[in-house]
Amino acid sequence: MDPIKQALTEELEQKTLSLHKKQAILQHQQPQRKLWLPKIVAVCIAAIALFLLVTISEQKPEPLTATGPLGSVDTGVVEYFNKHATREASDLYNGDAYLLRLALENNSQMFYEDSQLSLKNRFLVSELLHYIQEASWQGDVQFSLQPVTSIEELVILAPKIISELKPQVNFSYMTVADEKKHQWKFYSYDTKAWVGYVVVLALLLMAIVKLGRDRHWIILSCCVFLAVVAAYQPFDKPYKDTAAYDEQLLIEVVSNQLAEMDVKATGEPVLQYAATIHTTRAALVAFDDFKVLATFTYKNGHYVKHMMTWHTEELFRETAFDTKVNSPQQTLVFGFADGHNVATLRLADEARYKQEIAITQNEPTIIFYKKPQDLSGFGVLYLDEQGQQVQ
Amino acid sequence: MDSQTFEQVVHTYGDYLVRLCYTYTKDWQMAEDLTQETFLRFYASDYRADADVKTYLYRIAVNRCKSYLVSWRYRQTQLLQLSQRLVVKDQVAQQVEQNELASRLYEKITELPVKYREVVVFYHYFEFTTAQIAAVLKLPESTIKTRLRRARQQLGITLQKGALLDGSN
Repeated sequence: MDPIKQALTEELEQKTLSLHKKQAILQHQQPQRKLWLPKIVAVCIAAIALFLLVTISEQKPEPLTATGPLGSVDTGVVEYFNKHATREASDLYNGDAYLLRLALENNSQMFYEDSQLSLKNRFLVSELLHYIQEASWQGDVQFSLQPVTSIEELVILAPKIISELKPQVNFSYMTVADEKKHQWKFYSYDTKAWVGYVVVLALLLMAIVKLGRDRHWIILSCCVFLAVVAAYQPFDKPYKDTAAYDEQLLIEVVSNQLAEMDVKATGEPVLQYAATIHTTRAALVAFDDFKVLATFTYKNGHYVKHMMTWHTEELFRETAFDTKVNSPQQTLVFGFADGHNVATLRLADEARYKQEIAITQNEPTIIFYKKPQDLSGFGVLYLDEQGQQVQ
Repeated sequence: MDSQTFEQVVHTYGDYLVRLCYTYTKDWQMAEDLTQETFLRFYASDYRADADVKTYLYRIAVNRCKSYLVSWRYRQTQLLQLSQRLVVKDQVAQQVEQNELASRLYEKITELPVKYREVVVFYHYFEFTTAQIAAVLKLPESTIKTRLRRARQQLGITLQKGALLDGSN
């Protein structure tokens, strides 16, 4: 016998249609189908679509509002500029400049009343303030400013002043040539996420075509639903981590960090202010016995790191730092480097500190900027009353 | 179609159809279901008594089997079989060892692509002519001949490698 026929016969001859199946056929019964796989797939796809629909829609963050604006930002800018022009300004005022720039760029009434300038002019003035800040920090920049009477006058003068300062001011911490331009754009693309999103959409479209050809209508409808939901996601806008805008979260992070470092705070934490500039979010959380300044750094909208410091001299001595120097007369300078946002806090005693940085309750300014080159890292150094460093 | 004729057709072709379906599905239970569907379609169709019932039935069965092979039911079954294989891997291996050589040839046939397998089954088992196969599959007879030749070549290569049979075609 033909070997193929023999093989087929041996295998198939034992197979016969069972009696109960014959009976079912003769009674014209349809076979019972148990199709659970497409149902499960359809439910999964629909669940993903619903999840996307409910959760991934971008939520616009609610800006935190200060207890009261500090006045007109336009007036504040003119005052700041005139203080520099008349040589009345010290490094301390750079903290004000930071908030002024923040107010100009965000126009959120968070710290100052909104500027009356156009967006373009607000950024121009903000850039001017930045150059003046930097020139002040560097110390060796020769520049002279003439007082102005109005913000409009300053806008006219700004390009000229910037062009004078530009060759002298060194933004050493800005590594990208166009970062100056880039920083105004608070948002930036998350390229990987965008590419991933397009790929997923393309796969979905291919799946829809294939399912349509195979006539899997239920799954096809779920896939169409998923594609529609996905297409409505703001993939053309950068992803933004809104967690940094969650007031409660900021407080919790600060509290947890203190607990991890075994720093005991009394009283309930209160967020006194929160500010955002470029990629950094700063928050001042006050307890009954001390305050904590925390900065949260974001890149492409994603959380990268945070750093924090707190003040009362006792705590500094007790927790982290050299206890050899414990004279209350000595000034403690506590600095941290954080990309562009290099900052330091200086303490002499509580009264002097408050006087120096003009911190009063509910007044949102405690940030004091030192020259960036002095702040190469997270550290501490001690100064005497004359501001001289002691070992 | 009256019930008596239908019953006679079921008794005459039931076993053949279920075997045919089995060569497509490799799943006995599914082969029975497809046979059931085939007969129900046949009963509901406008079959004329003067037509060749055998060709007509086989054509329906082939269409049902091919639809099944691209369906979710088939994928679902494959998934289940895969999980079963993973669970009872040792038993399967043992069974394979115990099988006879002819059974191994049958396994080689089942591993052929569907378009070659169906031609082999119709030609060698059901003893259809190439013209009859062409009628069932609605393909040119030359295509059937080509597929049959290639199927045999594939089996011949396989057989030579396996050293089971000589001159299998």
